[in-house]
Amino acid sequence: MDIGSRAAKGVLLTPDSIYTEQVITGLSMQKTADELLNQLLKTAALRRSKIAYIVGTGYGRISIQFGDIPYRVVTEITCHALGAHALNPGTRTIIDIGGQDSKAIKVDPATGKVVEFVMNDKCAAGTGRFLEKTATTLGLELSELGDVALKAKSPFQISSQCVVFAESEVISLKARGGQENSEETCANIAAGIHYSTARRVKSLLSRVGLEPELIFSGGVSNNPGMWQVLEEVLDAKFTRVTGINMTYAGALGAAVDAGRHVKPKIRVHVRTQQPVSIDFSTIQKAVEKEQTAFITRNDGSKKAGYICAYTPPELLTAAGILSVRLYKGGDTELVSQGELYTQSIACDFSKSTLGAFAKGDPLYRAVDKVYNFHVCASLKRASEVASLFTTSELFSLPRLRRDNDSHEFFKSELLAFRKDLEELSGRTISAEDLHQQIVLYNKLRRILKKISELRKRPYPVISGQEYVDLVRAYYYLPPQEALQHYEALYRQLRNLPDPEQRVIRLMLSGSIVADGDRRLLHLIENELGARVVVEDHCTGLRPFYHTVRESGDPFQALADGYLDQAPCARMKPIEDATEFSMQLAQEYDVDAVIYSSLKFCACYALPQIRFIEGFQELGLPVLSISNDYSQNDHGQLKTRVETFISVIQEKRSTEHEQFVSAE
Amino acid sequence: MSNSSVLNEEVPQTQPLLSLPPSKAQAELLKLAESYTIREIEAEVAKGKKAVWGGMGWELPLVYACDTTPISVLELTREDSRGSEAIAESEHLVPVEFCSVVKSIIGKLSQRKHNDPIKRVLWFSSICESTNIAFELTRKYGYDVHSLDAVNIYKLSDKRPEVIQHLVNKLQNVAIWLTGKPVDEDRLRWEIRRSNEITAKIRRVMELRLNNPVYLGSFQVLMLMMGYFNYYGNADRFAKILDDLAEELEVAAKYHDPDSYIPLVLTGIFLGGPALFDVVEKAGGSFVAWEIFSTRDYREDVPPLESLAHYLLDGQIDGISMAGAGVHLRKHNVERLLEQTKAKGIVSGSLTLCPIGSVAPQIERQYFKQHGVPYINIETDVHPEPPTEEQVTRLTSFIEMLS
Repeated sequence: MDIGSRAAKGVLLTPDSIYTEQVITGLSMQKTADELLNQLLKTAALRRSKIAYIVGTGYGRISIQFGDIPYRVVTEITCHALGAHALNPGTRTIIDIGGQDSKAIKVDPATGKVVEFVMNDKCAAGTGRFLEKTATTLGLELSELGDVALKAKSPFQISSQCVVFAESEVISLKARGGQENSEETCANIAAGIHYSTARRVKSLLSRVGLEPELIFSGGVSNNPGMWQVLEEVLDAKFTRVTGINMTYAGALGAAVDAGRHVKPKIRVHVRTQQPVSIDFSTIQKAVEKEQTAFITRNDGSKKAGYICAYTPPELLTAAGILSVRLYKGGDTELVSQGELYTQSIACDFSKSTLGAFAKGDPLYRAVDKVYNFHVCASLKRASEVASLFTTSELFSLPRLRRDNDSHEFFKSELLAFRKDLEELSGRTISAEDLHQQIVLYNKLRRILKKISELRKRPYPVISGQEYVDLVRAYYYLPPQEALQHYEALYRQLRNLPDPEQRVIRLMLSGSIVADGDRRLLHLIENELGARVVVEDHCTGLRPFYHTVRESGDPFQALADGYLDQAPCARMKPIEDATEFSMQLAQEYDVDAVIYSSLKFCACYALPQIRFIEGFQELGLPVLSISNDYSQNDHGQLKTRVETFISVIQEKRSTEHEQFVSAE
Repeated sequence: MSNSSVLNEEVPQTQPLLSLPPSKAQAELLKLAESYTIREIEAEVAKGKKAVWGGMGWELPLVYACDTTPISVLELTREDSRGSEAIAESEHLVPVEFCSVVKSIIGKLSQRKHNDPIKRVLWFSSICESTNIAFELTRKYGYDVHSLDAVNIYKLSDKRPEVIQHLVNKLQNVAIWLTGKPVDEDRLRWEIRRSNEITAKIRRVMELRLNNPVYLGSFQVLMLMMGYFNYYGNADRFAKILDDLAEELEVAAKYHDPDSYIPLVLTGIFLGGPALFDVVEKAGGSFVAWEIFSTRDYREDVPPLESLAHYLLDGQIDGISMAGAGVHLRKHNVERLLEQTKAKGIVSGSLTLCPIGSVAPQIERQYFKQHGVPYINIETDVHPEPPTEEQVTRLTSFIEMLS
């Protein structure tokens, strides 16, 4: 059963026949599935008890249960590959366009297994929904749209950005077309929408590559206009499959998979358990306690916040100022508050930062001053707007990290920062004060790096979530207190037994993972059983990878240390960032990389191709995710990550014993 | 070029506007602008002249002092910008949510990579993060990208000697990158003087235009301002056009009918050609002041590289967005322009999907609402397509509201 967003498709395999049925997806997935099953049974004239196994796929797959029939869920990507392979064993590439998503899938023709795939994010452009919306605007039935498009003489250019923008363009074009040419206008608009969709699909396909034989599946494959336009835009021909409507490809794949389970030798991924558990709550409680103290403290101590990891807390501490990094995120309410200042077109982290000020988050409102050595232009803007709520001071951070004069200039900016801090705190910062803090923070960086290195073990003693949660202490606790916690924890962790068992090891690379944004990590580790063993982002291992020189002029040492730290992708040349990421992936012996960039993040979303190419050079599979803080695309995100992990598992299964047979 | 026939006329105050002869200076400006194309510059490069993609900013005298022709990167968006966007999205995985400028640049430079005779890019990196990254990506296509890693300041006390010195070093690096040696200071001083002379002419034109903004349309002003960045490759001809325009405007002032238009300030810019400027004028509006362009002089009392550094930093303090001004400073610049021109409203032009440019309109809308000044933001992109109904309706309604 393929429970799609618009329609639920079912395929029933018997020893000598294939039956297909389709019903409209209702509000209740269970009722839809029951209705579909009943229709299939009726068509095949079978009793329910004859059903040996059901595999569910599609976005509604998760919430279904059949108490009396063995059931399991498989992602639609795997099912479309299996279905296309069953129908046409030479299939190497699939384009699947469904109601709410579109996918490009590369298939191993020998097995029908997924080799690589790309799926659109939650943007509806390039999906059946996009076409449906246009059909409604044009007053057409969806089933008519493709035929109308084929009549176009001069297709209009339609924005490929967004279904919402496209709708407004369509209304404009309709108005311009006039009554006398309404049919021609309608055809030109319809064709324009088809070309726009095809360009999006081409973009997806370019990431996996097009290898014949190419199959077109999903509901939109019934649209003759899309068929023709895609062939033109892709400059390729689809292999025509006979015998079954390709709308059913996913359901057929599910049925094929179910058939494999009829003789119940089921391969189940063993969810390994951490042999000995460590209590991380002490450190987390300390962080919460310190945050409360920071908010309520009223003894005249000065309190400052900073946003970016290029701001050296050494100077803040040397000035006797209490400081926290302001990096909360993951909350849609904060995002919407921030949008009052940025509109929707900034990354969710920038919006959350502003939202936290606007909403009056007590931690943000407790600071006397916000400092930022601005890295990206978005956070620079956010820091500027923050001055509506508190005083803020921005300093320049050179991009050209290899230039000597960048280091000199950065030192001068640090000296200006020092002056400002001295004015705020009324305390002079001597070279000796700063030296002591550099030594202290180096200890913190070293211990965080050592803790991270425990993740190099086959079975990492600490999960990705636990690591980024530990990092919170660096940004929220006074440094000496954080150090005591880390040292105690390290002693416990390093003495844990080292089981041989190996998990799927992932690196998470890309945009900032805000304090509170744990959705992806939770999905990877808690729901899918893989482990993030290293991060290349600014709230994970990256800022602690290097230390600051402890000799000579401490201000110059600080300038050199921070400019030479493992770089953010904003720094130039960009190869410094991509090469560091590749180095980490090798050092931590990862199986694959999840590259997660926040939507609108210029530093990580825009140059993703450089990172992806770098990881692929190392032979590492990469899943690129365009992320934000919304919570309503969990199913879609899970489909992508789950399929990705299953591809890695398949890849590894011949090399490692990752699976055991079980009933 | 002469327009003495116009100048010699005795025109009564009451004569209708339409009786003014067509502007020869404007026609000449159009001709000059049209001659400044990628193809023309490529032909010059084929003859041995040096050219560089860039030429959009305050460093212009330095580029000319290095015997190099600057060509605006926006020229890359003129032809088949939709096709360039599609290439950026499909071949270079640029997410759809990025703006048309960035996608067009990446797509076009990728298309040109095998046969582009202008293989150098000079970019001032303090404004737009996406463009910085875009140019980083183009290095892989064989482009030699030099990033002018400048600074941002927000108040006069930030303009420290070390900041000036840093900029001087960076500018000297540009000269070395372009010519292999430090800049010829005498030549740069001469370029600065030339730029100041042209700036004075532009100031005069803009002042005179206040007496009849309808005579010199808003899109023509945009062409003028764009020429200010690069003189369309011919400073003498450009200067002559400005003189002629000033003479024409002196005459046109006699035809001034202040009730025939609604004076407006434009903040930011409309991209994509003249269409939206036409919409404004058809609705009876006229842009009498432009926030995005600075008409400040370069200082001539300091060494020339230092003069460029002061120009940039003073521009930021003035709130000029092209200089990378802070988001709160621009509104003060707009306020000054409102006072100078007595404009009745503010039209902001921002780039669709630009996270950097979208913040200022949000801040300014609130600010000017409190001050009782009508404000509207219109988003545009680089595609030279007819305006959408939504843009037309919003702009027209706004001007009707002010009528």
